[in-house]
Amino acid sequence: MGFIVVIAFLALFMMGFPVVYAILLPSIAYVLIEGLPLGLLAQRVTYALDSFPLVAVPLFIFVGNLMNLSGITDRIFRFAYTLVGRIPGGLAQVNVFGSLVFSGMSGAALADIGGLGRIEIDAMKKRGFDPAFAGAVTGASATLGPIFPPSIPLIVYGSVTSVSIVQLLVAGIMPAILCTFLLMLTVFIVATRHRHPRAERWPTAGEAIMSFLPALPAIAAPALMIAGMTYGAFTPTEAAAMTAVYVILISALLYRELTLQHLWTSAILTARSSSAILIIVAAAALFGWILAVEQIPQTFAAALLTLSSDPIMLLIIANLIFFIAGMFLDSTTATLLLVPIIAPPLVMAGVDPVQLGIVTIFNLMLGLLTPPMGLSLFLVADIAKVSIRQLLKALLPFYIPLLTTLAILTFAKDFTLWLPRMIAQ
Amino acid sequence: MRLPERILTTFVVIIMAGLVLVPTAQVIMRGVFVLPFIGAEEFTRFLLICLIFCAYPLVVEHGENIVMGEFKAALPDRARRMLNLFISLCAIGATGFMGYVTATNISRNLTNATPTLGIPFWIFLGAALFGFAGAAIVHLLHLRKPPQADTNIAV
Amino acid sequence: AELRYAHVGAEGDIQTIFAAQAAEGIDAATNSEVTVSVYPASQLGGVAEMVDGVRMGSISMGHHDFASLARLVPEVAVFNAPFIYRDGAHALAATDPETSPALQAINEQLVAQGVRIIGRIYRGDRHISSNFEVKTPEDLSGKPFRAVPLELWVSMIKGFGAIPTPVEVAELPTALMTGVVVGQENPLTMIASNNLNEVQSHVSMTGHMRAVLAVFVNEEVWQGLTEEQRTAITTVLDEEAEKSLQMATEGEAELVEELKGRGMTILTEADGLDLDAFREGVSAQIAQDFPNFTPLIEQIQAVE
Ligand code: NA
Ligand code: NA
Repeated sequence: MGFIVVIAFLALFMMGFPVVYAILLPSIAYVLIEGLPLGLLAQRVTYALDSFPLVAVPLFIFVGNLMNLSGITDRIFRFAYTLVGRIPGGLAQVNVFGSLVFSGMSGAALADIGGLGRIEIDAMKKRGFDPAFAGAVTGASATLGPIFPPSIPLIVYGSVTSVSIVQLLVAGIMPAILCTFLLMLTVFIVATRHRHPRAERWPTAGEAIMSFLPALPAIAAPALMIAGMTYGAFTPTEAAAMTAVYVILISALLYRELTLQHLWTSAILTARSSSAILIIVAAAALFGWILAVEQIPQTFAAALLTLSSDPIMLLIIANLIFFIAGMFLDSTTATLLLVPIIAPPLVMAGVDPVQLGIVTIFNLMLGLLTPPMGLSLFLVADIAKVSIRQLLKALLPFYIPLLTTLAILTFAKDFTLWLPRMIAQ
Repeated sequence: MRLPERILTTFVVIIMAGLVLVPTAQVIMRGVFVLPFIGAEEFTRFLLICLIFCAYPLVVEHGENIVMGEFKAALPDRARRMLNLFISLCAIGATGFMGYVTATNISRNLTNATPTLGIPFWIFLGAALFGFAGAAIVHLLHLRKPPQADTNIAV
Repeated sequence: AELRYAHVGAEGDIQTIFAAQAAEGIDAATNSEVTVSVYPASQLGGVAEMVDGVRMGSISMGHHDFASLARLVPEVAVFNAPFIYRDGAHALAATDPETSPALQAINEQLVAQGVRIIGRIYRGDRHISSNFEVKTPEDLSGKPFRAVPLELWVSMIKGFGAIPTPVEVAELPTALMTGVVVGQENPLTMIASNNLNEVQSHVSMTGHMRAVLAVFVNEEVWQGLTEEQRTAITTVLDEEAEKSLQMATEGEAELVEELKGRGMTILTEADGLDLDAFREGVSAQIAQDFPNFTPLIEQIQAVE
């Protein structure tokens, strides 16, 4: 019965049912057929949202929306362009670097593509870059967002596994920096070979400072947040609220660009996209309850463990599963449905739970860039106005740095764990 | 914007403000005045539940449900329209049933309340009822439209 | 009959071992007429959801602190009240559903709500951990101390002299590390398994609460069993309760050594820990905040 529920979900999902109904319909059918109390349906979806860490989701989306509407995104973009625009690839380098800086604030996976990505692709097209290349850089660099703090996927992962959220967020820093470096190197090589346009000269110290100063308060936000958490001023969830207040304050007082209309619009957009995401979290909790009662996680975990008991082998198997899941599921759904099944046996076999968290989320983001059903792919193709085929061709070289990062995350666990360990002392 | 939507939007924005302000107030009360408010976390979670359910009819209204529309988009026009109608009917059924179940569950939980602040449980269930019933109504009004926009953006 | 038994205990905790062994024992004692599937680690939901689930029947049985049932009958929290038991054996006797008058009185009210207590688990004593030496309530005076966000805990932390500060379990190690709160209280097994020794330097062996957990069942499910099955189940649960007390007592001595080995300083009365001062402060605060507990506390203390 349990497996039928899973298959029904997949079928409805592929047919184009909204995810929330693809989950709810088989779950309702299960409860009716098994004769469980109907109250379970109401109770489970409500309790699923009764979670303090999940509060960070609307708060970070709010921050992202505010920044886009109040022009902070533009400032960061201009600063990044001044700094690295001269490097071969020019604007493409900005695109990568901008994602690292920007993702530090937005926290949401594809919000990076929808927000900054749109500006970047437009700017690159204007300066004569191939639209497919512009889209490929944007899509590839958007994988940085969810592994660099703050990160909604990491917070959801932490709340599902009760792994320390602070440890997870700190653990994402080194991998994100490494991946940024490898992506910029790739852009450098591709741009040099294809003679892509770049800025005419290096910035003078004055220009760098002039563009840095307006962006500084915005760039300082992640640092302030992490400092606040480290010194006990607030917990991770509270940090999300503090970031929102901080962004409102700097855009109102420093930049003087914040209007009540901005606040109002940001709040409405935030409420809607939070609801669209978290209603799935609520429905997935019901689905997860059914999987648990049907002992599907245990069956699956047992099967997984028979394949190998070597932590590295298990981690590779998990990589494959999450990579495949990422092609089909959005990261929140995949985390909620799969992590409770896969994480326990791996952790029991000796895989570090923090490392597993980073590997999992990075994989899910890679899956977004991979056919048949990568959400990033479709979004980028839509913004850049290129076909999926053209985009995939341009993306090909970028799978090398992305997969290299994944390999380092999988095999060199100290690389990921070094920073969180240091902070824990 | 029609009046019901306008009222609901205003309500949702107020909840959103609360979500930012309550944790901020807690940080200040605890850090500056050493007077933590027992129950701030519970109240914040309460606001989150209200936000998600109350905003859900707006999500449906704007066709923002997350969906994987690639298979559907590849279908011939006629087949796609029939599939969309089928999905709409299922969506009305699912949200309507969830609304009905939540409504019957409220009457059995009248005495139940949260442990710290004593927020009655029927308020939580009431938010869920509002969200599902509201979504069912919007789906019904949209019956001939797909329950989500054809372009899909997931976060 | 098939019973779904849910709880929030983690791998390796006494309560998890209890549930697994009880399931085996019930299977054997009823010749597999009653089978129990255990769902540990919040698989079927957190504490409040589990209690509601048992009441509704989507979950057949579960266990947790007595205070978790206070959403149904407020007075049930008395069995978690600090400083009311003489020792572990007394705690088990006072919570025996067959013999304790206080528990039977509460059970009558619970049954009206659709839930019945049929057993209990001894999970060890709760002690204070902190990042400085705590010997008297004065040492905690005016300092933020983690309180489980339930009235009983808030009242007890006030009795400690500290400022009750709510922190979610998930955020507790971080909050202790960064100083959002300076201390917390829990059984040693929790302190060890969550590595709180990394963020706390001292344990004061206050044993202020005997952590006894209630094992409860959906009343309809319970009445659906035969008389013999019910007797078999309560017998198994009673044996397991005794075992849990033994396990907790032996475990505590080992855990003290373990935590010392990890560099923690353990303070007992011999080191100048003023237990009486804690007992007086807490009891006065509880008597003030929970006047309706007083007759039940007298009943509990009268149990041999
Ligand atoms: Na991020
Ligand atoms: Na980018």
